[in-house]
Amino acid sequence: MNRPKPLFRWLLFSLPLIFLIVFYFYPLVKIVLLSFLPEGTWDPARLGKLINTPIYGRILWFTCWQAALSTIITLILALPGAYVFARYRFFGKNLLQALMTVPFVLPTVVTAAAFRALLGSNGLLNNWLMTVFDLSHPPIRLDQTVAFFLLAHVFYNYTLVLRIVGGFWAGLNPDLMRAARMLGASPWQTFRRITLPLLMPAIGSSALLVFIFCFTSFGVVLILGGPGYATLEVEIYRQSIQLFNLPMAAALSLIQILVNFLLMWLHAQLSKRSRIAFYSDSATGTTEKVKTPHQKIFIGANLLFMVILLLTPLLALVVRSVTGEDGLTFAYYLALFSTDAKSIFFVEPISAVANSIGFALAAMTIAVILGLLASTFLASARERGSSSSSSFWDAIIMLPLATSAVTLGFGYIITLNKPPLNLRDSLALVPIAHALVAFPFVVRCILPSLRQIPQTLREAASLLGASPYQVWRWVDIPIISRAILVGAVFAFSISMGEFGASAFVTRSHTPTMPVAIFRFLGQPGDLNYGQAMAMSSILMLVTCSGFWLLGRLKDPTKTPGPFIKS
Amino acid sequence: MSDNRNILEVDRLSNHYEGKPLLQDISFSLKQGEILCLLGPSGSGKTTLLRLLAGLEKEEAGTIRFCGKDVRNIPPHKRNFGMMFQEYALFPHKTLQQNVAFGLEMQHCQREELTKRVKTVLEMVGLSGLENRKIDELSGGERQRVALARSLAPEPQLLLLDEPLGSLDRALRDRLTGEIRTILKSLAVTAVFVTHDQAEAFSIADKVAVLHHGILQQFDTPENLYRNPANTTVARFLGFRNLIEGTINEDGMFFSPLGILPIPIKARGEHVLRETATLLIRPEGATIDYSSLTENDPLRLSGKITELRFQGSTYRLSLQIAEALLTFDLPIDPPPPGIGRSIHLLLNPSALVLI
Repeated sequence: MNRPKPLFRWLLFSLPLIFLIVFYFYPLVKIVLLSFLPEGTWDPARLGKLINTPIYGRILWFTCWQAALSTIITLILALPGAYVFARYRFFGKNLLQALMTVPFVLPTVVTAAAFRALLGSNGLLNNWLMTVFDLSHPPIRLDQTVAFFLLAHVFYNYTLVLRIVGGFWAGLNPDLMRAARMLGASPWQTFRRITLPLLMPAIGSSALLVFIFCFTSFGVVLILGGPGYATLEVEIYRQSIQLFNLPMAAALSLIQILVNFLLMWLHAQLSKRSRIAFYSDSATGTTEKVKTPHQKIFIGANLLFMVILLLTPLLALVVRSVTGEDGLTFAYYLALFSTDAKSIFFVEPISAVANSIGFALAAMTIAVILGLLASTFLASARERGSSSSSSFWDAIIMLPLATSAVTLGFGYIITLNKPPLNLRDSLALVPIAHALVAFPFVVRCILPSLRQIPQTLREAASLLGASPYQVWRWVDIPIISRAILVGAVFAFSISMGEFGASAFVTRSHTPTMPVAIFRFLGQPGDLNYGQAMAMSSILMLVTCSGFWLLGRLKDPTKTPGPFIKS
Repeated sequence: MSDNRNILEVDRLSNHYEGKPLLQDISFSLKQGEILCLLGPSGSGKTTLLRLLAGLEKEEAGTIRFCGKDVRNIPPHKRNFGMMFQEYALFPHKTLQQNVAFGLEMQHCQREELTKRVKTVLEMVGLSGLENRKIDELSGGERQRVALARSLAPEPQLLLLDEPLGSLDRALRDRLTGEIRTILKSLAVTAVFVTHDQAEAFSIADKVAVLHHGILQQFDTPENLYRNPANTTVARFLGFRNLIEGTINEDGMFFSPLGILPIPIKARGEHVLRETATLLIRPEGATIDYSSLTENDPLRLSGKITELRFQGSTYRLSLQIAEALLTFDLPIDPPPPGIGRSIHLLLNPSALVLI
């Protein structure tokens, strides 16, 4: 009775749709066209020639195996951790869980800087070892090696696997394992025949996500890998920004787009199938206390590993940002306020902070408005029974997730630099790019909570005399307010840390923080290095504080109610 | 019940959880082929007791002997006990057939033998023909049968059932209770059955153990339990509301707000006389007394009807006598007078129990 009319629904959706068409599909189509029609004429032979060059194959191969290796290492390290989190209670678990969110929100550039601060040739560990053992050369030589960025990939994805698999594991009804024991299965048989098969959807889905993230890894590889290594993303950047070989960049982007779509499609299929209802309601009541010495050692080792992996790079970053040649110093922070760094910046570096925050606020506003409109459209489509059309549009909205930011940035510089849409010199380009990246996340935050509202609630409100607008304002909005807030914080953080697209579209006068950090890291000299550390520390503080504040807010939807169950 | 030896002996079993006692000094024994019901409200420790028997949890004090052997250090998968879980815990990644076969596979049963055995068990629970169904394609009642079949397939020496009918609707529950008893009896399996439902316990069990706050209140046959509840806790849990406190003298006269009632010898139990005691009047043990001839009958109660509800086979009636409020289930003929009216009831001597 009180559902939006079809026309009105499409009106709601028109804004996100137009946004996607102009700022997503248009640049993407342009990339494809540039691949096939390099000089405006149909010339697939040239594309074939590009693809057949040994560099092309080598880059694709390198991108694949480093992603595969990162995935395998991460899984091996994270699965025991997932078990510990799923099945045991221990001191400091909540704190550690909060710490787990840090890598998730940490910008790639900051991570790269943090690992340089810890293990780089100029890093804390090397400096310390050189002083203690009186060495003339840094003993740990990870700079510009594969191992260095693999380590950073593990840092990033360890918590991802731990959260997905651990959460799934905790949700498995422990009676299933007990049933197997009662039927005569030993602990090992129980794990192999029952637990592992049941965990496979979660393991597969998280492994695929890790692979996707590592496949599209950009900032970490660019900064830690050095010129010797290039993933597809890095090569697209080099070909377009440094070598101005746009057809080659387009050809690389094409393969990137195809592979990403394929992987995301696989992931969607996998997570669709893993939604079998064998979660027990009391996921929290199933953990046990640590009892035997074996358990203690196993859990202790895992927790120690987590703390070292997650904390030491971040601590090293902060420490390194306040340590100069003569000990404690704030010189790097102060230097951010001076315009002496004329060689890299035309303005004082600290203005990057203001730029980033401004861009992030704009991107957040755009993403939340678009996300709210799109979620309302999708949620009402399902109520109307047209669930197949709803999942089609859902997939369309998720497409930007399956597109690397670098591809997007590249698409922008080849499309939005001339009429009809000349935004090359407009400040709007950065927030638009960021909003596009953040938009699917916002929808993923809002949509589930909107769909959990039973239609009867709205019907009850309208029978009590509420107009459709009032129903929306006083029923829907209060219930999803927290989800909107979470989406907004996500959008803000994504924008603050976004580097791939920014590397293409930021103008030199208005750098964002990640771009500034990248520029600092690319320059020689201790002052530049120190300023990179200082800027990274500030960026880390800003992105983490948003999520910290979010965690402090009470969740109003956690009160028992009918919409928890559905 | 050919074998008269005790097959399961539980002796002074105690268990704590985070400082709170879950079970205190539980002792009982069970004979081959008997079905025991652990009856108690939630939090009474009945599930903990079952899990201790299964070996899924460790006892802190006391012993569990099975066939004369201490089972404390035998891990659950080597006990050869079967267990049926509350929500069945059927493996969602296996078919019905694979679920039932799992225990046999663990025993390294030959393929041929295994297939035969699975077939037999499925026939027994009435699930033949559904072998290749997935678990999520089964109804609640079917799942319950699969769970029973799965726990019976490896021929366990002891079958443990944890509220196996808890999530089913009433009608299905009543039917399955009977079926389970028939199946268990035909196989002569010794079984321990956990439930909070008194009717279910009575219709399935040979022996009932009432647990409350981790203490074994009474261990008896269903009939004895109903006829002679050991204490007010058991009586209340069985649903008895007419519990009147008073004192009794050596002549068997019970003094209470209801007046003086003579207690039949049989109902006096082992109570030391002149002691404060509680009198239980079972609700079905009264009839309306219209005649004036029995005015001097000592087992006559008079009071005012405060509530009257038609229940189908009986009338439920609340009667105000002095300060006490008693509840009775009266036959529908003759119909009692309306609310607010006075009424005389004649008590059946067997409806009185002193506890």
